[in-house]
Amino acid sequence: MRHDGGVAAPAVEELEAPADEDVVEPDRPWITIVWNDPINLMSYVTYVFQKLFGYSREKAHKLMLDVHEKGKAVVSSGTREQMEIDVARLHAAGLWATLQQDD
Amino acid sequence: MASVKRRGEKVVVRLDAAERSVLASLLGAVRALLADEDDASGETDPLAAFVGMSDGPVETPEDPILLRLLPDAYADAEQSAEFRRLTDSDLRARKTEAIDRVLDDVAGSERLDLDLDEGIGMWVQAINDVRLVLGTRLDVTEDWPETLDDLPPDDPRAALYDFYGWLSALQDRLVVAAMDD
Repeated sequence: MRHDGGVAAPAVEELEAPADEDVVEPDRPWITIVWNDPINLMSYVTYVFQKLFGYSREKAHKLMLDVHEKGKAVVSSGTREQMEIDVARLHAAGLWATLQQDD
Repeated sequence: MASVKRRGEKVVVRLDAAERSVLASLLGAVRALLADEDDASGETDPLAAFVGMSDGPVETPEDPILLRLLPDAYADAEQSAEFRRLTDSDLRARKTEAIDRVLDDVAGSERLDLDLDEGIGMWVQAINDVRLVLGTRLDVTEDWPETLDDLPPDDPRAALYDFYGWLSALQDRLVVAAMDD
């Protein structure tokens, strides 16, 4: 992260590589993404979404189909700390999950 | 073949001696994979170990099988490494706890009464970890039954596919029985 403060003229390479690319904006929520894989059963993935997140059968089934057909689905959102807990629980269940800040 | 039946708030599973023996062997192999072998130095900070954190960096597994069991949490390698440092030992412990529960169960009687929450949860989690190991080892695709059909009968992978298929069917029946309402 950079803190130029706008005093000195930016060097040429800074114009070419914008400085704000890796600035974290705290107001954007974090999301947990589950990725498709060929091993986890469709029934099991639905079961895990219901059990871990308390989702209805319908919502869990739809998220599972999104993972299966689109390759991934956002299964929860919130603070970074909450998403780290969700990812840890999904990893314990054997699903392939990552977290990132929403864009 | 194993029998799986829903009985009220329980799922009753019956596995014969041969099935229980195979399941125990496969679970034992995954348990050994998860056992942390890097801690033999005796230099671990006991307080960090107590709270489940590593006092040093935890390396990303190079073995694709172990990486599938213990995946990266971030696309970014540095953030993943920090997450791994904080959570690796807890994740291994959670997986090992489920494996130990099932090992305990199959060492007992032929008939097992699993409650819908913890019992079934531990079983499907442990069986899934065995499937992740076998599936990653075989590099399975979603069309794996066709791959198996094309293998010569003496191919050593055929036996692994048989275990994989058996565990997939067992896990599916456990999940369906647990969700039946």
